This record gives sequence, structure tokens and C-alpha cells, in this order.
Amino acid sequence: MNDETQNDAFVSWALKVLTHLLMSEETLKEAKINVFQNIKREQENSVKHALALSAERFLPQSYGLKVEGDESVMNLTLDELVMFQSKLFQQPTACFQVGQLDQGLVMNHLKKSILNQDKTSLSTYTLLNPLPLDRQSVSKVSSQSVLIKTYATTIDYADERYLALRVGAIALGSLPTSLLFTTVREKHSLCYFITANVIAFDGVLNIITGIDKENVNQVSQLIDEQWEAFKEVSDELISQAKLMMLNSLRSSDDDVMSTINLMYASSLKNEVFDLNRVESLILDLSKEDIIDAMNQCVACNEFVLLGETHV
Amino acid sequence: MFKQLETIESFVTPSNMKVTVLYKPDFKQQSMIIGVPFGGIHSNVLNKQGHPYHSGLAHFLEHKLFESESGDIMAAFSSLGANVNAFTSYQETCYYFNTTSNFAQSCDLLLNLVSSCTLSEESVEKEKGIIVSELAMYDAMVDQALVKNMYQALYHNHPIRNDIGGDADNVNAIFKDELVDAFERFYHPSLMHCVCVTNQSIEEVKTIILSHPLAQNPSLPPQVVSLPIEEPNEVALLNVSKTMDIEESKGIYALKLNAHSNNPMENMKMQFAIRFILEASLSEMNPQYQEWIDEGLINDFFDMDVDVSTTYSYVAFICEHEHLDHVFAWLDRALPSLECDEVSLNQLKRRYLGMSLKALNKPSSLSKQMIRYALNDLDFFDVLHLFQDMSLDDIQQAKMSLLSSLKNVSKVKIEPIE
Repeated sequence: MNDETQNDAFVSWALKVLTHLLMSEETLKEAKINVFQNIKREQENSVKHALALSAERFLPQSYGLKVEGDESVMNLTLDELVMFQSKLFQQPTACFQVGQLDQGLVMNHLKKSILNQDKTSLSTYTLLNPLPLDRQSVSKVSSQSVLIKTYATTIDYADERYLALRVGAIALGSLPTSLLFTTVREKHSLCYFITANVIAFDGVLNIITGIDKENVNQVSQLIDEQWEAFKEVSDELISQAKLMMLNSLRSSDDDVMSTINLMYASSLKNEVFDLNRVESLILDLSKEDIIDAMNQCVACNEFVLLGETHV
Repeated sequence: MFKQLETIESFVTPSNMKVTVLYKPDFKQQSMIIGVPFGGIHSNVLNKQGHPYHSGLAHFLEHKLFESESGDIMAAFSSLGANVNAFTSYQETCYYFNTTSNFAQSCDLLLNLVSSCTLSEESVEKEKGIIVSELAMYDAMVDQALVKNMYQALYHNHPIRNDIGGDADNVNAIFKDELVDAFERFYHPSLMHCVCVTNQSIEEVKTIILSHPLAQNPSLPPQVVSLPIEEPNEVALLNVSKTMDIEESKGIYALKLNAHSNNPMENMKMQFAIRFILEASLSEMNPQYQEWIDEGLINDFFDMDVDVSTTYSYVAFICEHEHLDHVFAWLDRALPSLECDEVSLNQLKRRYLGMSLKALNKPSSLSKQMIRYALNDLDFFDVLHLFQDMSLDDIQQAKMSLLSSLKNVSKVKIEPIE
């Protein structure tokens, strides 16, 4: 939206919607059904279901919470929603606008609105408190098993070592040349997908793969071996991981929502996102920084969703 | 100061490869995609021995093309900071990369990738485990199972009955010779299309592509002989019922149409016309839609799919309900009375124009959309005119086509295990 009059109208409309809950018993009923059906669909997806089950062990830590909720969502009342809405606006609110707009005019408009608050951003990121390593398995009628290995990163989102952790996770398991992909998939033909993902605001690194149930132990051992191999990771792989991360960050410039997400994430650290600065920080990371960040990860759970022909 | 506007240009290389370049100077992400008209439905093509290809061959070949004598292609792309990937659909196989740097070198690599096929029997054997694992992953997904069962219910003989990736038996029966045979027949530059979305000038991109050996020497493509597809108008199965470890029953109500022709533009027009009348009648554009939701007949899972290709055409309604028969009975009642008036038609035209224009802001998905059109001899911008020029007569024709197919219905149910 590049027209300033339209933009002002949009901001006014958005604020009205946010501050006056436009919900009736009928719309609440429909929304609850939709949410509940979505929860059930998540359970039908083997990987999502396995992730939710594997995280349960960490309750009441935030990582164990199901963002989408559970069947109790059907008990929500209109009064509860209105109360929640009112509390929500007592919290710090971040507002981002991206577009070909006059920055001064936009800021002026926002300053006059309810969004102009003198509140400090909450640190909504946390760290997973590592639990003793444990293994659980649950059976499901499925053609494939899912193995999830969970690690506490012990490096939070605001930590200066966070970028090193992200680059390390890419080199470990987010590239077609990563240690996990080249070993578990390419060398041993044991899976189609295997990834290592950092959940930034929970302080978690998950390794997820879909495999045959007969190969669970072998794959688990190979994953452990790649953590060891990471201590000798090649300069070339580190360089590839850095480039991929830079590519992803630069691409966000083409997409409004990606830009807002990066801005929002930085605002949690009370920073303004600066692509050039982040690029420099990534390029300046040494291999030792990255190995050291990955060495901070603590293995704390192994979960297997066992795909069976019948349960 | 004069600002260079976005522009598009198409050209044909001396080797007869068709290329389209979309210049987007303000975008950081750049992409190149190369498409080959060889996909899951080409299992009726005959090999050198005169036997039909194994199903899943195109997908297997897609996997193996990332292997090269000169080293690991994946590593080469990664070293340039480019994300490379590929996909096989029923109609085509496409290879692409997205990057914000080293565009020229990445283009060269992608052109190399589709230029040669160097396989060893050993590496082909190793890939089978990976592909079987991929197929197992899809088999575990209820939406994939719905579509797979729908094709098998609708079609008696059409190769679309087979999964794009084949099945474990077919995959295990594929060997190096058959992969090389398929590569030699289909990976000929004159059959390929290439789309680039880039912030480099069109002249620069032309130079990159035209200097690659794949663009240079003209030659005739090898002959492709296929078994004819003899497909009756009637559906193969009226009802299919399966169980999976799911929480809520899901179903597809599918109409086997006879709305396709050899003309891709006509097919696309029919596809839009059918989509328009269905959206006007069965989406939130219909005031009754809220009643259907309130009655619990449909929820946010409800969806419609229309495909009008050169050899098949169908409409599918995807639904979720504890008692699927209730939804199927509602569709039985609703379909004979589909309507789309002028107000709805104009609204749909605006909606589709908006969606298409939005697509122009995403280089990676835009190139995929453009290559699919290009492989069907369609142009992205011609397609915009197609639905902008849609008339009520076109809608009426689509309605007649739907009405004439109401007796050709397959109902697929996937229900939770008791």
C-alpha cells in the first residue's frame, strides 16, 4: 500500500479491529471448530505429530507447549477471549510498516495511536533447560518412522554466539552438502530427508529424519558420529553454510513478511535489524567460533515415532 | 533519473532451446529454472527394446542427474551460495536454483546439470533406498493418499494412475540403461524450456546462456514412441474406501470430465471457466456458504481442484467430515445447479488478476509458474488475458461440460482405523 491516505485508513481500521474484538458466539464457535480440526490434522502429519510428542517431555518449559493448543480449545468462552484481548494490549506492542511510504508521516500517525507506548520489549526468547538424555517411542500405523533428536543449544537468541550456532546448524544438517545429508542419505541411503533446525526463541536444536523402523539405531548412531565429525568440519562446508545464510537473509529484502519477521526478531533484543551489520558478523565468524558454539549443544532427548503396519 | 523498468524477452537458442528472461532490477533474489517435458505420466513411452518405461522413471532420473563425473554438483552450487533443487510432476521435470549472488556461474552449473547423464550401476542401486524412503514419506500423508486413490478410481488405463515416483517394485526394477535411454530421448535442448528471473540485464543473461554448449549445436531430437492411451469416459471405480491412522475422515468427490483437447490454450481457458463457476457457486462468494459451514457440511479443509490437460480432465472436491456420505450427497444436489452471474464473473476476474500480479513479486515461485506455462506453449501474460476476456458464454460452456459428466463420479473415502 503506497498511498498515504489509504495507509492511514488501513492503520485506523487495523487498530479498531485489534482493540475492539469483532467476535460473536457464532464466529467463536466456527473459529473453535477450525482450530480444533487443525489440531487434529497436525496429529495426522507424522513429522508434526512426532515433534509435538517429543516436546511434551519438556513441559512446563515453553518448548513443550503446543502453540496451537489442544482439545480444551473447545471450552474457550467469549468472555475469556475478551479478557485476553484486554490483557494483550497492556503488553508492549510492536508495529512494523514496510513500503514506499513517507517515513515521517507514518511515524507521526503511529505516534498518535494506541501503539505509541513507553514500554520495553519483553525478552520472549528463552533457553531449554537440558534434561538427562532419554529415549521414548510411540507407535503409529504409518509407512515411515520419524526420528527426532533434541539438543539444548544453551545459547540464547541474544547471545553473541547465536549466529555461529545458526551457521553450524546449517553445516551440520541444512544443506545438501551438510554432514548429515551426505552421510545418512547420500552415503548410506537410509533416508530421503534429514535436517537440523534451530528453534531460536526456545534454545532448541532438533535433528529430524524420516526412516525405516529397522534403521533407527543405525541412523541415531550415525547422527552422533556427525556431531563428533563436526569438530573437524571443513573450511569449505563452513564457507558454504555462511553463503547460504547470507543468501537467505538477502532474499528477505524481496519479501515484506520476511522483512517484518527479521525486524521483529531484532526488536526482541531492542535492536534495529541491519542487514549489512549481520552480514559482516557472519562473514567474520571463524571456524573455531562455530565449532565452539556447536559444542555447547547438549543432547537431551531422542524420540521415535515408529511406523507400523498395525498398532 | 531514468529508471529501468521490468521487462521480459523470449528467444530461441541455436540448439532450439526456448528461453524466457524476466528482468526485475529491484529484486535481490534471482532464479533460473529448466524444464523438460518428461514426467510421471510418460510411463507409456517405449524404450529401445519396445517396452514401456517403468513408472517413476522421470523422478528417478531427476534424482540421478545431480550426479556428475566432475564432482558433486550440489557442493558446487553450495559453494556459490545458490540453493539448487528439482521436482518431477506428472507432465514435466524441472531443475532450478535461487540465489542472490554468482548468478552467471550458477546458470552455467544448471545448464551443465541437464546436459549430461553419467551414471554407474552402483550409484543407481544406492539411489533406490533413498527413493523408496521418499515414497514411504508420501504414503504416510493422507492428502497424498487421497489424490493417489482418486486417480486410480477415475482412470482405467491412463498413466496418471501411477504415482509420479512409481512404487517400490517399479523403482527397484529401474536400471542404468533405462535411465540413459530416457535422458537421451527427453533431455534434448529442442524439448527444453528455460526461464530466468534476474536483476541482470537481458543482454547479460543472453550471453551467459548462448555461450553454453547446450545452446549451440542444432540437432534433431530422438524419436519418442508412446503406447496410445485408451481411456473410457466412465470412471474405473465408483467408490473407494481405505483406512489410515488419522483423526477425521477425509474424502474426494471427483468428476471425470471430457473437457480436454489437444490445444493447451483451450484447455487453460476451460480450466479457468470451470474454476470460475465452481468458485461462484461453492465458495464464500455464495451467500449459502456460511449455512453449509454452520451445518458442518464443510470446514476450512474443503477445497476444489480442476485440471484440464491434453490427455485428461477432472474436477475434485476435497472434504473432511465424520460422515462423508453427507458431504457427497450435498455435492450430488449442488452440482446440477451451478451458477455464475456477471457480477461474480467480474469479481473473479479481479481476484485472479490480483493473485497473478502478486505472483510477480516472488521470483522463485514466478519462475516455476512460468516454466509450467512455457512447457505447455503458454505465456504467463497471455493467460492473464485469457481470464480477463472470459465471457458468460465461456462459463456456460464449462457448465455444460460439468453437467455432462455428472454421471462419471468417483467417491473416495479415507477413514480412521477403528
